[in-house]
Amino acid sequence: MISRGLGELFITVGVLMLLFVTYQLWWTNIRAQQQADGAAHDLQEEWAKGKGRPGAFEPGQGFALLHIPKLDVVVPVAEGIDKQQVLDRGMVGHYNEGATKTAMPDARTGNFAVAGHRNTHGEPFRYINRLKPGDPIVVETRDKYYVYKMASILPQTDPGNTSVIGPVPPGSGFTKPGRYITLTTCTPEFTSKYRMIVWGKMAEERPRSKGKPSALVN
Amino acid sequence: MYGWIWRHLPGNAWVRALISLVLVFAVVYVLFQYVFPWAEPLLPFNDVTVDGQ
Repeated sequence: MISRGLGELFITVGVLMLLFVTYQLWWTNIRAQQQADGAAHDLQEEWAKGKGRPGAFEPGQGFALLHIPKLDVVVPVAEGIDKQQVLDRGMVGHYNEGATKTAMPDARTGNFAVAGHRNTHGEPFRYINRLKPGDPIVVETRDKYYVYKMASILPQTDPGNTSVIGPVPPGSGFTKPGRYITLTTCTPEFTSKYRMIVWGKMAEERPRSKGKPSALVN
Repeated sequence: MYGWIWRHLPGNAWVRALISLVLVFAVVYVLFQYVFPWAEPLLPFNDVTVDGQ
């Protein structure tokens, strides 16, 4: 009788773990993709109506679309790096608070730093390790396209290393203040041990009235 | 435990199987909707930000 109960307990725990893996690897992606698509759609609708004023945004509010054409990524960017409000909803989060506050793309100089999931929850940054120098990264806002070119990558760094999102990040190869973008995600995949950092430098600032940048046309 | 549930379900074997299926789906739903989202942040996966902590 005892051994039977014990057996059932083990089987139950096993099934529970399998279900959790299923949830992580499959269900969170489905959910996050729905939520991110919804957020992207809302943004485009607002822009079409002329709303979505540039400037200050509420935490969790989407304000831009990030395009990485090489990876087929189009993902909304929201204010803040909160997991529940932003990252777990499939969006990319802009570092906007306290010691990790970073510039917006329209700032004259500064580093626009964003975080995104490498695995699960839509995993927008899954393959950013495949980016090569020169690959375009485009931030689309209501009024403008900001075209960045990938510059360098830091394959692994400590989670406490906040200097990577500084105005002129050490190790990026940038030497003076400029208009930069930083993508942060976790590495190795499926862990939280280290962070992977990708840097880019702005190449073009293009008003929406002039049409899409060449990186998004083909 | 599972034997106990089976014995206490009403109806013949087919009805019991059907009820069991519904119960299984209910459990999976509760897990996916409430339990796993709650448990997820407690596990050391998927931190993607640099935060100096």
